[in-house]
Amino acid sequence: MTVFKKHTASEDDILKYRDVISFRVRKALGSSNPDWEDVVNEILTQALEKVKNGGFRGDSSIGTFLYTITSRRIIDYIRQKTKVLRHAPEPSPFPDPHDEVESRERARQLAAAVSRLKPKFRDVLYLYYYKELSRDEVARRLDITPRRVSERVNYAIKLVKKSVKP
Amino acid sequence: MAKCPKDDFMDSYLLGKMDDKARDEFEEHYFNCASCFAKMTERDKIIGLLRDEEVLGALAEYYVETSPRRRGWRRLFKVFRRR
Repeated sequence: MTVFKKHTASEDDILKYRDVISFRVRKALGSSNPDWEDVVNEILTQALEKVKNGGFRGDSSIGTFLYTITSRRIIDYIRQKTKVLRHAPEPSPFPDPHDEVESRERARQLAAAVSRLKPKFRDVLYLYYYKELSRDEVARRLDITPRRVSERVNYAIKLVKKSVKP
Repeated sequence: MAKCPKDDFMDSYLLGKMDDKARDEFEEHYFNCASCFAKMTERDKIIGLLRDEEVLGALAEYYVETSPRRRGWRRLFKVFRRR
């Protein structure tokens, strides 16, 4: 007889997922959306309450449990916003000047690194990430195989990554 | 999704080129896989910067001017290699 182990979750276990939830929420809402932090906090509060009230039975992993809550909250948020936006569009938020300066500095470092790449690597990066062509389309354009496109992209990323400070 | 995906797969997700089913599966995967999440966030930062107008955007002029000629040379070399 197979015995399935039940998962358990403490408050600390849930809070460890803040970064993953934040990433998912920012991706869905857009990084410049000022509401993303509130949405993340709401998700964590809801998850902690569920655990406290026995809503997490341990049938799935904590990750899957949080993924489900996150996805539902994102859908609710988008629905609410769609209703609000029909009446009055919100002004876009101003970017943080400190983040802006850091980001520009990193972009400059990366631009320098890209300029030092061999043309064959620059071409794939440009077509794949900037022009957003598929791997097959890039392969046809450059007269190479799709596998070679992946190899060049991954190698180029590895090279330029070294030039950007963490 | 039981297996950790390859870099190409992560790129498709980060560039928004994935269908809904694959996207949902991958999202559930990275909620459960710390190493994929770490790898993906690192890649996301680099891709975000690469797509900046000052980085890859600055190559637009260079690419239009030089690529057709280089592609012509490549085709010629291929003919010689076949011989």
